[in-house]
Amino acid sequence: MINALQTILLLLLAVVALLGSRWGYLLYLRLFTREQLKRLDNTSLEDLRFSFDRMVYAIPLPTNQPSIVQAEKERFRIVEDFDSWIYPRLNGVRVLLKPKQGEELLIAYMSADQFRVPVLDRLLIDGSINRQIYRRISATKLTMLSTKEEIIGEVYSKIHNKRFS
Amino acid sequence: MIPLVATLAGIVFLAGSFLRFYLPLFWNKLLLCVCSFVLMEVILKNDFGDFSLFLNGSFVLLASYSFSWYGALISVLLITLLPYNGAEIQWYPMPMTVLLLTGVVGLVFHRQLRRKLASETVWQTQLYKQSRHLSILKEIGIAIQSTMELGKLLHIILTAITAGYGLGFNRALLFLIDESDSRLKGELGIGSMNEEEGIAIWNAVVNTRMDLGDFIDMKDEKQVHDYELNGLLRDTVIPITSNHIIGLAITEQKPYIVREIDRNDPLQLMIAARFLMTSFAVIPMLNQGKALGIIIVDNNINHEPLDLEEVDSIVPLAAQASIAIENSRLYKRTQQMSITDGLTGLYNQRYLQETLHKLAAQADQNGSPLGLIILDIDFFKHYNDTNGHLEGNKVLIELARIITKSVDKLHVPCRFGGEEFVVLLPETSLEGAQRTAEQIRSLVEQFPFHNAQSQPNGAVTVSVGLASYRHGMSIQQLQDRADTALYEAKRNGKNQVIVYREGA
Repeated sequence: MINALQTILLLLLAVVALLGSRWGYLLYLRLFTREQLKRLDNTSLEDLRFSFDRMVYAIPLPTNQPSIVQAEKERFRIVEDFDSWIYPRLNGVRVLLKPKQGEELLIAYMSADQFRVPVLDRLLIDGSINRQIYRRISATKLTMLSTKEEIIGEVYSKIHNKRFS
Repeated sequence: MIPLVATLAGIVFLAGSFLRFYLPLFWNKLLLCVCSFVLMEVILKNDFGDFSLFLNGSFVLLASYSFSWYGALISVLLITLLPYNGAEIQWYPMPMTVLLLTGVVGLVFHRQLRRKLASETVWQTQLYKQSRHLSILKEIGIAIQSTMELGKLLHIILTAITAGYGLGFNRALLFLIDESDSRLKGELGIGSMNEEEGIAIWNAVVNTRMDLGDFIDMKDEKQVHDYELNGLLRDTVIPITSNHIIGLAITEQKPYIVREIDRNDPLQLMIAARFLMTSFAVIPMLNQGKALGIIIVDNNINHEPLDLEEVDSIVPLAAQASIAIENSRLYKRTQQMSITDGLTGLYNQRYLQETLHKLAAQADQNGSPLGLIILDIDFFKHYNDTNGHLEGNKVLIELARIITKSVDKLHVPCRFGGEEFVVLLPETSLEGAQRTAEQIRSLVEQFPFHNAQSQPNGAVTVSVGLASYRHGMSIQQLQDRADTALYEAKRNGKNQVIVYREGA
């Protein structure tokens, strides 16, 4: 009986650990980044400013599609894009829109490789960090809730930007 | 009560599953496989019969998924060689087949993942890059249409190349071919001369959340930032010859990348020394096969190597820019033609009327003086009848030159029509205007015009009327007064300056 329980518990543990690889990876990113930022500049992750400049839009801008223009901000969501389940690596984030009617739409994509953080640019030029560390820190920033909210805000404002329309 | 070994195995597995992320991918995979193997061995210490095969199979699947056929082979060998796996697996055909088949399934997963990563990553990256370039082109296309002003156009083009939201080069310099078609002249540059300044600007851009449109709008402010670069650039003239890289880019009409400065090329040395460049790319600006100029880009801040694909992305932008520049020049030329007299090159009647309105309003507002000179060639019909209209035209052209030479930059010389000319003299006192009028009259009288002695008064001369603006006066009144003075000069025997005086 004890043996069976022990086996079930260990198996459960293995399944949870494998299926939860992405959460484990995100936790690792967070811890790694905090440690690096403390070592480098004593900057907090929350204070890192970033650029949307490499965000790619999957819809034409300016757009006049009613389902996009009339969509409330709450209908936008961000989904992380990983390349593998067991050995995850963040490729980027997708901005999706669930319109009132019809299929969910891909609106924009922010690649983790292209996600730029000026503080890290300076550290990279200084030689204080390498590209791998840059990528890990910027990927961490990209997965933060506040960053996701800002990205949705940026996408929403781009859709409603009337500069050239 | 869970035994200590099982607890330890669980802890080791959990720790390994997390700590593996600190390692490079190969070691990450290896650690996970080792931890899984340890866990499996602990579980299999209690004999579970057929369940052992399931566990072993899962391990083979994980190992082959992680390490391809190496993983499959080694995991099967480990399972068969180690004692805890039960005698039923060791070398019996059925369990072995199941394990090997599981290994093949893992291998397929591994291959698929690799193929997916290889192909999808490449095409997605390409697609995203192209999409980004397309949106930049679109935005720039719209921005370019918003202006016909050359300076603003150049600013938009270089912004698209350098701005964070644009193609992302650190610095861009634009040179245009001058009228002689033999040399390039530095026109505009965007970018910093040193890393610190570049990073500071980049920080400011990110903090203020500026996009490409904001960059385009901030023309004046941006130019202040790049004062040093533009100072150097405007002093730079490059002769177009085929023996240097820039000449080659123009004649062969394609971009060139200089990855390392050629110490034997004086032009490359000059560019490297002047703009502190270690590598750069030259992109010709072409419109219908004709070169208008070049764009030089470099990455002097982040020292990213210049990639031909990225440089190629400037080509359509440069082509679009070239059309816009040509259009702007044509527009400027047409605009100039609409306000100038074709024969003499002086301003025409339309421009005279427009400017007179503006200057009168300005004089009213500031209380500043405004003079108007009107002059007419004496016996011009006689000159034409005697010497022909071609010689008459030459007199008109020469007279225009004399007038232009005699007036200040502020003054506005115009051809009023026929042989009548007008000069508007803002910010000029009546005495000053009179001196100018007298100088023109005197220079004309002394000029050796062709067959001037055949004129009734022995020379080509002009009669001049002068009036000055009074507050509240209409511009028609001002012109009438100058005209009255001119007729007075004509009546008094010609070749003289008469100033209109009220009540006279």
